[in-house]
Amino acid sequence: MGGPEEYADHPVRSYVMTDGRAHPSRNTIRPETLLVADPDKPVPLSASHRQRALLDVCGGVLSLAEAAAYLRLPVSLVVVLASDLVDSEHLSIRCGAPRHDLPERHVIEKVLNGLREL
Amino acid sequence: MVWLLSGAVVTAVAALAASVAAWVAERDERRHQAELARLEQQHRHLETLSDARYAALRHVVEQQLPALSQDAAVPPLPEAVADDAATELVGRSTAVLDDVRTGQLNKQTAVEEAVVALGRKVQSSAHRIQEEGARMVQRHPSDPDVLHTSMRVDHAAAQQARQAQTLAALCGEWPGQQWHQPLPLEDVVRAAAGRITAYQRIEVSGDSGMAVVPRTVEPLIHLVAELLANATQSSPPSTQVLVAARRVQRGAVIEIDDCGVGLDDNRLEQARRIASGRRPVGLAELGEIPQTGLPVVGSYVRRHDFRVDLTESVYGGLRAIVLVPGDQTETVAPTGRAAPGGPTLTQRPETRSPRAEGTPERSEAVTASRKDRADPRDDHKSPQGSEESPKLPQRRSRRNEAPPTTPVRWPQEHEATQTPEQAGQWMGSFLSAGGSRGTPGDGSARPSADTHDASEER
Repeated sequence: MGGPEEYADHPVRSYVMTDGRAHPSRNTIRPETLLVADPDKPVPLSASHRQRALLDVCGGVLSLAEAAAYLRLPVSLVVVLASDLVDSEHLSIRCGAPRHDLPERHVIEKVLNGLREL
Repeated sequence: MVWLLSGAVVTAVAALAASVAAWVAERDERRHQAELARLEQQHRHLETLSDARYAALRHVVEQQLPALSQDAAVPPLPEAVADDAATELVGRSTAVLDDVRTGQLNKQTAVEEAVVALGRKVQSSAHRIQEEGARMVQRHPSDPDVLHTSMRVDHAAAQQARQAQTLAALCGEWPGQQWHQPLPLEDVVRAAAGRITAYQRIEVSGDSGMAVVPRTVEPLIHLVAELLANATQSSPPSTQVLVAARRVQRGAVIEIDDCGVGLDDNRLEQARRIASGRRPVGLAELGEIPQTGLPVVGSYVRRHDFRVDLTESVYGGLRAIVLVPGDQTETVAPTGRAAPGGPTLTQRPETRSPRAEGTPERSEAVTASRKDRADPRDDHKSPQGSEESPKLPQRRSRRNEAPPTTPVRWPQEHEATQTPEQAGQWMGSFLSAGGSRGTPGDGSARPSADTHDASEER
């Protein structure tokens, strides 16, 4: 039962970690979103061990999915935890490749067609 | 001459008759005396016998039968009763009563075993439900609705598992699950909160820097869960239940305050006797409307050398205090810092084996099987574990260099109804009561929110 089916149990249940919330406070965080902790901001005293751990693993830039893997928590749960920390400005979202830097659609199509002709 | 002679004869005969009569009288007297002495002796003997048999009867009625009804060993007849017949009869009564008691015990054991086995089944099915819920969330990693459903299912199953585990605890059995990593005190409280209905009313404060050793994790979680359940049930739904965990010289303390109306002195004393383990309550004593919470607490207290006391809380309700002895606690690195060499991860008690849940787990057996399986999940379970095989690139947190100071958060409005010294005195009397379960609620030293500060000084 490895891979995504792997079941990691923990005495502290998910609903306790989020106070019963399953929906994140913001919908901008996705599994591939890069997160980075603000090193200058002290860890909130009310933070649970999981939140502190999340801040720890995000000491460098880390995608949310990776952080979830580190913490061995479901991605959807980490989204909720991370959203709270982003709200409190302990975590910030590091944008990936900015959308306006992406090439236009017709350029990509040309490249694709070129590759097919090889 | 003839009359003279006959006179002498008459005299002699008379004298003879007199002496014969005297002899006969004396002989009868002696006989009577002997008879009297014999009768007296017999009387004394019978009296002794009667006393002995009365004593034997009293022993049966006053000692043996009550012992039987109280489920204690039937005491044999004391040596002092020296009557063979009584000894023999009481000996037979002792043997019969012993048989009855053995039969009772066997029956009780059989009932308890059945209850424990049924409880384990319910518990393991609850754990399977939790496992399925977790898998469902993993299969739908970005669907909050699935997470929400899973949380609700998980919460219901966690409460079911606790109730089932209660049955085992009341029968003096081990809890049905074991954890294999130490767990910080605050997480013990959070884990316990997850097993009660009103978990959202639990407010944990403090960062004690203390964890409990693996073998203590599950019993303590269950114990705290029962205290939290009592606290939430006996206080208005709109109020919080405040929990503080802190390090003390003799180990670690968890305090649970509710804002209910408390108990009157009589009921408080009864509750204290049960919660402190002084009065064991088994399945049979639960009654028609079973109150299982405090009996479970008491059973863990007796088994694990915890100390639990209940007092009035400054918030008006009850305060439950749990002392975990020092040999069952260990310090943990303050949270919010990365361990050198790798990302700090939470202290994750290892997952229990879902396949082994149906049977009562003994920690040694489970540990062994864990090692055999060489579970890859062990890798990131603890800061220590993270050194072994970090799978991801190591990132070091700069938090490392700035350990957070963690003054304990405590609601402002509860401040100073008494001085920290008074509170400290009270705390001291609880902690220094030694082997005897202390009575901290006496005198002027009432518990206060300020024990927080006071105990830090000790």
